[in-house]
Amino acid sequence: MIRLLGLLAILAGSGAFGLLMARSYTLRPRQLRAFHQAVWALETEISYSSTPLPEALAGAVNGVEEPASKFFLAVADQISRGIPAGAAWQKAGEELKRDFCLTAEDWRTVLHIGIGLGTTDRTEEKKKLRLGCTRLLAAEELAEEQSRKLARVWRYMGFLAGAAIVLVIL
Amino acid sequence: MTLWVTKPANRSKAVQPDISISKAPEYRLKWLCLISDCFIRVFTWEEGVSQVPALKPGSKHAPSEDRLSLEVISLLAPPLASLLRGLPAGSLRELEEIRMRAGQPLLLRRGNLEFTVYPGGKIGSDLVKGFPVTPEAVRSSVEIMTRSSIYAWEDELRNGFLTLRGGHRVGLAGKVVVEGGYVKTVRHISSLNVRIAKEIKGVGRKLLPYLIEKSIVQSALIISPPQAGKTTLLRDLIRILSSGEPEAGLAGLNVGVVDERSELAGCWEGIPQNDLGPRTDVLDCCPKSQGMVMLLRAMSPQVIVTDELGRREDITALEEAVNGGVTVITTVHGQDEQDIKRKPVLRELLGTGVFRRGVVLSRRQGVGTVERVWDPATGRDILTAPLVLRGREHA
Repeated sequence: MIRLLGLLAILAGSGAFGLLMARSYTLRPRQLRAFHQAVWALETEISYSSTPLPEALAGAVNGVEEPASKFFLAVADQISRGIPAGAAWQKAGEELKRDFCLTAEDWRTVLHIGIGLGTTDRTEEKKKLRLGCTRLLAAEELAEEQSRKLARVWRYMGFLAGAAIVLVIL
Repeated sequence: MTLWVTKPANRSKAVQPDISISKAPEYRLKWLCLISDCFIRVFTWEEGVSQVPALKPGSKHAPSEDRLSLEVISLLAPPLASLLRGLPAGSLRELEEIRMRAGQPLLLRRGNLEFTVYPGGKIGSDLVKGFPVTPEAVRSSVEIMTRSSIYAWEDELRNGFLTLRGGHRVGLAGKVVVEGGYVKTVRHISSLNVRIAKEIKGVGRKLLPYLIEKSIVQSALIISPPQAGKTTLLRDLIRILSSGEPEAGLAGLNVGVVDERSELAGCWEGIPQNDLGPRTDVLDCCPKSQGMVMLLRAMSPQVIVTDELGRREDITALEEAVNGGVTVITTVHGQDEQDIKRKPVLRELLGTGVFRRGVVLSRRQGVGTVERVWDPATGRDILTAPLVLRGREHA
């Protein structure tokens, strides 16, 4: 009886691990899309109405999913406390990294957007944010492709691997 | 030590107690403030204690130290902010200027007294020992002042200043970027001059009766050399006209202000930081000629006020406003009527016949001396003897 319960636990654990991995692959493009949406809105706020960064960041997250919205609000809050935008962006990244399912490469893309943010004129800011959007879009497309391939694999592989272990033990 | 401190002659007047019995506790408090000031000075001033001018306790116009800390010091680079916050209470009272130059000591000014802060947190006049301002501190201060949004202050940077909350103004100097012959921006900012805002109210009251004829405020041109109180007078006139002056039989008027250099209203994020009265609309950072037309069409003002006219297009806009039945009050740089007649555009401005009052300001008997008030249309003098709008203590 105990053996049977143990085998079931192995199967469930392995399956859950597979589902979690599949979920992270599904969430990654969604989170990158949310970032892309917010950076796009930020560019509009800056280039169209020259809104100062704290308000522009807060305004840019309207309709943006968490945790990307949380990231932007954290940056806005730190700038309001007197921390330069570049440093605030990096700090928010370090603090909220765990809430995201992004790869190291994705983070490099996100953090690159914050370098020198708010230190130039409107035209330059627009150019920089447009570049950030392009890079985020590329990362999003890559993540989408990986999600299509790997999310399904992980969803089944967890259970299959669990079943294989159970068979070996039996 | 070279003494380069001068004591304004009438400072002591400001602390003369009123001898009325009913106000005795208030004066006891004032004297206590003075005595505590003396102690602070003895313990914090390393050199030249005797040269420190007496302070006016509870000045009406200077911001309190708490307000100064919130509106100005909190916007300086962290090392400078903590240095100034560490100074004993009273050290920054009535501060007028904070100057930061990359690679030079931090300088502060109160009246004619210029001093620095030593790294240990004491104030003194030996600049060699003064706390050095690093280029990084200047850059960081600008970032904090603009809330990391340089792009949002492009127009102000082009004009060489920023306006902070509270109406304090920050002058900037550095590498100027020119495009097509025009200043595009200032980058690599190396010097900052924070000028603490002080509101001086009531200076326009004495002049107001000379600007009114048959209960109507007449269009006026104020001619003044720099530092003669022109902007302060104009700001006070706006406040009086907007609030109304029952003693002069004047009801409050809708006043439109075109504040191209953000000096009159001291707008911070579009909100005037100086009190301009309840019926005043401000177009901040707006070119004067366009602003006058915009106000005329959009806000139906009874009076339009603007500072420092001088371009030909301003004259066209001015004539349009006056022909629309609006009173215009404005200023020009100059010594007197003859002086402005030597400049073609200003001669044309005076010759338009739109002004019914000319006012000449000078510093002859202190800042805000009205030398002459006349009607440019008839040449009739309205003021018989010079009028001093305020005492020297505000100079």
